[in-house]
Amino acid sequence: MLSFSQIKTFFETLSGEYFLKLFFTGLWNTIKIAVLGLVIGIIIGTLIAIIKVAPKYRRSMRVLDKICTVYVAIFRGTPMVVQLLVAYYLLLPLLGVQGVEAVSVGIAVFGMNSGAYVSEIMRGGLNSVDAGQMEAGRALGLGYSVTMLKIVIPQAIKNILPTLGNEFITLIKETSVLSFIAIYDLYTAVKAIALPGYTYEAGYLFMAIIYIAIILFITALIKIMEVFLNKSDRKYGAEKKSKKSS
Amino acid sequence: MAEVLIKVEHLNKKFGDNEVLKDINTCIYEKEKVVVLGPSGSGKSTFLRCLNCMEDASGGSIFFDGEDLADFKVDINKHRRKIGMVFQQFNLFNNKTVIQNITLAPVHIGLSELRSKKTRNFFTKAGNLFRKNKKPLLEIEKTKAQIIKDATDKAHELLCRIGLEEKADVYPSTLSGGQKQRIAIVRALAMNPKVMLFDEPTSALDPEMVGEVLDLIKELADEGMTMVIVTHEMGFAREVGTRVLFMDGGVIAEEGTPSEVFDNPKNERTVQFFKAVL
Repeated sequence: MLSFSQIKTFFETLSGEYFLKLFFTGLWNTIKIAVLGLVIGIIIGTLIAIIKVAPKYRRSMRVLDKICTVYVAIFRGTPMVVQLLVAYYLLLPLLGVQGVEAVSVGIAVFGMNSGAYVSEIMRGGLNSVDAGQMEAGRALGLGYSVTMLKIVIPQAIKNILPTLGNEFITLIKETSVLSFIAIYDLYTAVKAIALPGYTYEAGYLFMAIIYIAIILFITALIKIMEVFLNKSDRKYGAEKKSKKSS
Repeated sequence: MAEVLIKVEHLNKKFGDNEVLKDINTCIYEKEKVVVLGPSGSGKSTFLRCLNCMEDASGGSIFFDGEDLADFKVDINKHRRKIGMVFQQFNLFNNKTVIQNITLAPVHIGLSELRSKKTRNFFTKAGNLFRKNKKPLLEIEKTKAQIIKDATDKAHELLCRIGLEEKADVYPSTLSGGQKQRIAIVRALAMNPKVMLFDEPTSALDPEMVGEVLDLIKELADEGMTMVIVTHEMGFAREVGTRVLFMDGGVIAEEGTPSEVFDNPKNERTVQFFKAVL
């Protein structure tokens, strides 16, 4: 049972040099894998979304579109645990790759998995930008990709930021499945700390608090980014005349 | 007769089974102000949008600068730089300030030309090491900083002209419709186009703001800019236009000077239309 003495024991174990290091390794791995996973996810997701919304005059575009559909189906159709297990225990030996750190595999799988989800978020974002923005860019003689990069994507990102924040939070919490391929993430580390004194209840409570703390921090960060990105939305600039926008 | 700028031959446009434009043949001459009139659904906007390939023609050809724009192999971006377009919904870039809206395209195009010149020069230089007759290098007229400065200066000059210089650093969401449209017009002008296409430039504006936009267009017309204007402003069409195209059901039903078309319409459909709108 959870008691004051148990919590005391837990923190005594935690404050030991070895376990403190273990805890911070776990925390660091969780954040590292989630952040890098999200970065890779955004890159992959954006590419897929652009392929999906791009005009399909060329056969190569149609083939790419099919490949992306299959990719999204695979990564959304299987749980993250299965993807990690398949990648680490099946694909790596099959491809004969050796000496790859489990953490790298974790980052890659998280990135590819998140890419599938971000692609759909991004596609919604790209579609939410008025088609006239693309037309105006093209009419000025800018290419499709330039207009996409400079005009459409920045506006799409602004629209999808709250949903993207959701995806990041999901990724942070999903890191608890990394224990399946023997990575010390936050969950595994805290469990290991609880083992010597058998203080699991205190450990679980501690874990929950840490997760909440990380996620509240991220939420605040997203808020700040939103304010920054929304500067073109409201009356911003030299003059503060109230004019209705059409 | 003045020089032909855009030549449209047997232009056809289908949306699925719906044939919007049927075998359009016309020429747009230099310094001409062509006004396209017609009931809604007559294909006048589609016709205008086909001129710079915002809509790809289903058949026929559009000759501009000696090349057929309807041909997919043509570098359409290169030609669009010389064809300015103004939209009904203004379409200013929402994530850019006014000045960035105007300089974005000139700066980007200037810089990418500079880069490609530098790349070609690099290969010419490398090749020259082995050549007896050295190939000349491409001349680089402007540096990166100069391109940016020139574009910014030009943008300020254009903003001054329309009296919106103090709005240079605000975002489009803070502007009125009339201001947005005037900025959209100078954004197109910043590319030094040979011809300007106006797609119902005043239809999305409050009545009191129509005047300021029409005044600017008139000013450009007086300076000798070639224009194709789709509009519902009959008075304006009559005043500015040097030729009127009346479109109905995807064909040019009637064509002539404004006084011919407005005062003595020959086509029955034209007569009906003017009876309804005038």
